[in-house]
Amino acid sequence: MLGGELVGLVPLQTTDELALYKWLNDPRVRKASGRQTWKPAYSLEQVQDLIKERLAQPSRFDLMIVDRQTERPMGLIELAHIQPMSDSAQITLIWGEKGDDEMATEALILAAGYAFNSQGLHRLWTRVPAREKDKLGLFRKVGFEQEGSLREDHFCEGGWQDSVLLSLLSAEARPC
Amino acid sequence: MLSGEIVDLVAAERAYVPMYVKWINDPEVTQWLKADPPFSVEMEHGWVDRLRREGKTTFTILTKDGRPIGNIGMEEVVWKYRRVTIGIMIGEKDCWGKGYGSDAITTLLRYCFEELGMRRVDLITDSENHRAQHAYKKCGFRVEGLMRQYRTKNGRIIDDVMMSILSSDWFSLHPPEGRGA
Repeated sequence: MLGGELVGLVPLQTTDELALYKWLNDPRVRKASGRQTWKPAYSLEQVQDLIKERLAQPSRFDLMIVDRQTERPMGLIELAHIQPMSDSAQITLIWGEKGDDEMATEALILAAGYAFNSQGLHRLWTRVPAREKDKLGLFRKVGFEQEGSLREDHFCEGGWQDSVLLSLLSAEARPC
Repeated sequence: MLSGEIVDLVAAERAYVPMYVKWINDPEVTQWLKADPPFSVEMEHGWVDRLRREGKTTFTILTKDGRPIGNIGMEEVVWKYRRVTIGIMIGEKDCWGKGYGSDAITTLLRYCFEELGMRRVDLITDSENHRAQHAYKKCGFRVEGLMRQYRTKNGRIIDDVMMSILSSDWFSLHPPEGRGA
């Protein structure tokens, strides 16, 4: 486990299916992702398939966020599109349960530390729906800088919505 | 999950197959549907596995206390034209005429128009199924035309009715500002 004071990060496993089943079927979590490929509903069998597919992909690494006090899974951090040539990856935070910002912030700092120090990455980038002000605030708090915006890149709440692109370089990362 | 006023829409899955078998083999339930019974448990397992493999979006309709009462699905999605054809079946007969079907359709329409940005949602129904046509009209569908002698069922030649609702129809019935968006 990558351990912080409030949360720990553990690699996604097939035994995490029930937590993922709950989050993937939560409309609040789906909307916050701004991800058009996110289905409106997942069966348990589909979640099992999804975990297996993720575990088989060498270009991604998924980390479950666990509350250190209760050992309850709180969310997921995805490191995807890991590109060895550019030492970069996309980081996505999926916050499944109700928790405080401190936990999410620590989870992001731990994940960034893992990406830069253990995986040797140089750059992390993320895309956050512009309307998700709290999530944008979290990434900025961890040191992510805004690079630009993707205009009307996804459809939600009856209209096309913008997303914000942010990145963090290894030299800018806060120590774990 | 999609959440409506009195129903939730969850993914179709193997755990519900006993209910699917019961519904799809009930002649009263399938009277107006394209499906021709009989169907076995294995056939229904195969259907669920096919949905999963092909990535089709079919939901089981649950009452708010978790009782499965039917299915609703996006049968054909054409992204190029942002068009989708839907179908619905309420399998629990004691739930007919109580608004569950209308709420399931409204919930799916909201998803199609407000989250997927579809331009048009359509369906076809038996021209003699006046109760269903009335319910679809209440949800905002309009009759587009009669598909003469479109299929047969139990030896009867059937005319089907094509009905549709456009994005502009939906948003005139459900203005975004009225929903606090």
